[in-house]
Amino acid sequence: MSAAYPTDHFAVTTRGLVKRYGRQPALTGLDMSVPRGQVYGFLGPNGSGKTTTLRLLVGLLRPDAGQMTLLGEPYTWRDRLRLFRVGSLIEMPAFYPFLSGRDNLRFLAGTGPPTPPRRIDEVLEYVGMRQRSHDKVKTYSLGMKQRLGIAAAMLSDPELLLLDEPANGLDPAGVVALRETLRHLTSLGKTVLISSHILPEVEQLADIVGIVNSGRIIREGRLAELLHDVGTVRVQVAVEDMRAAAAALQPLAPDRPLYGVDSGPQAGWFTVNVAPTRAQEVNRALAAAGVYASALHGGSDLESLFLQLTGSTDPGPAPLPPASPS
Amino acid sequence: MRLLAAELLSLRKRAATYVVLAVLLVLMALVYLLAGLTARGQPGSAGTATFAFPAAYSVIGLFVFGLGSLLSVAYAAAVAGGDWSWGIPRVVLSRGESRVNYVLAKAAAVGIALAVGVLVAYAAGIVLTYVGAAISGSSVGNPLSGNSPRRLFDSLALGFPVLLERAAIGFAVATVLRSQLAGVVVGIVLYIGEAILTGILVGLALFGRGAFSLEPFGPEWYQFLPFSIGDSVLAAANGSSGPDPSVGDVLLRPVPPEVALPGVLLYLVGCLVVSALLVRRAQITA
Repeated sequence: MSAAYPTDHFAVTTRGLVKRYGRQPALTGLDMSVPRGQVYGFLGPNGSGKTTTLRLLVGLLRPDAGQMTLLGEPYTWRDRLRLFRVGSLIEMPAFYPFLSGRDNLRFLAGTGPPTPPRRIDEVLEYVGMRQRSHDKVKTYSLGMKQRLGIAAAMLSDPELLLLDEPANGLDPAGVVALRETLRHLTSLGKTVLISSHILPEVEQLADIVGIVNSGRIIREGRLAELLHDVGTVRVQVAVEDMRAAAAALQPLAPDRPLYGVDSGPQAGWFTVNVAPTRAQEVNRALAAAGVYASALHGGSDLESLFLQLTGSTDPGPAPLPPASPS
Repeated sequence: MRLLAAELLSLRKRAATYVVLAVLLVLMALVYLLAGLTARGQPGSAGTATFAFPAAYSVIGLFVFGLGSLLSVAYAAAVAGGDWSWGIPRVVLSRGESRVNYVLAKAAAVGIALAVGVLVAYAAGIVLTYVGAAISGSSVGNPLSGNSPRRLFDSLALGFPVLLERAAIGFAVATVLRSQLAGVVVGIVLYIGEAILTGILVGLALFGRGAFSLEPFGPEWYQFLPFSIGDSVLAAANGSSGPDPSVGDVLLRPVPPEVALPGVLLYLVGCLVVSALLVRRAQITA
């Protein structure tokens, strides 16, 4: 991807980024490219290196090896003035608990890039916190602190927003508002990089995703392209037919586990790890075995891709044991 | 200047700023009240001398720069350490703020808060002097006559750098430890620990000289330790030409103020440099 575009096309690039905490590797050669004016979803399991990457991008940490560019130019932790054009919310929002939300923003406006006082009202309005802005932060809920954190990130009207789990603690209305805000920002040509565990949220927001595991990007690209060949077919059969169905379905994806549920409300459902375009093939295999599906659903989603790539240990239903000949 | 104004905003709205000053004022009021009651009906006693200018300025100075020193260590440590405990450096530095400026502006804001506190405490001390004198039935004299203004100036001009230096030590300790609680506790332990160590060393020195010799001695090396050296400056600030009273031994000569004051300033600058360099190089993971 980086070869196809000049560096200036990207808001952020990293090449071979390495970071260790003592002997513990956090990043092991991270290559990431975040195009300008897009929402980039940065996904990965806990401890995969997402927050470390964001900390490196805002100069809180120094890399052990590798290069970064920020807003089109090479970047090291010493180039702090570049951060005047970057807004960030890294980990949990941090504020003085004894100050009001407004005073915290006034404090932050006194740091970093010059910020006109009216901007404080604008961002408070933007995140729906104007009414409570005079209350002390220690009286805020997690969601309100999160909104204030997003307001703080937007304070300097940045070209690039780095948001670490921005939907944390937000109520559904807050999540919708966040989504609209981020969409609005990209329509203004700004770039948003969000790291998140809430995959459906990222799926709705992101144009491009990068999936990180064990400190390196294992897949990066346009969401639609990544999902093209990935997905599952879910099929429901009668519980008494499950053994025969398993025997018929397993050969379709011999290297991948076949998930089936044999009890409870989901009883009779199989999840076959094949592309949704092969739904017809699944149906045909069942029919050939004398099993008829009562429901069939082909879907490709980010969650499937994520689980497949990261080898997450939380795949949902347990894999069915190999079918024995009847 | 924007950064300094921002830091002052946070200190102005912080309860600790007022609590520390209130503790000092309440203790001063208590002591003046008790001293006034004790000296009542005893004209010419040492107690009534406390309420007569210019000596009254020295007494105020003992409170403000003596007890105030301990409070300033705790206050500066709380301010510097609190930021780390709440994750403020993460937010401030990720906005592109200079690390060195961040530390120095915070230290300057603490210095300004302490300066205001000192002025308020001095004003309160003067009022309490009149109250104590009224209770004891003694005369305060004229606070502006003779060498009183000079004594007031000396007390402030020499005492304030000591207060700043001690605050800078608390600030640096909290910055090194990156914790509010640990900064306050360790700062106070260092302050008290050094006083105890100095007392022990004085005792050993006396013992080594064949005890009970009344010949003054010193200055000794331990009088150049960070907190002890300030005591010599305070002795000069309070108009004491005799031995250093802070170590509880009238036999120990203080370090001359022309040596002690630069020493205090050196420690002050040293603490700020250490804090700034530490934050400049810090990898911020919290």
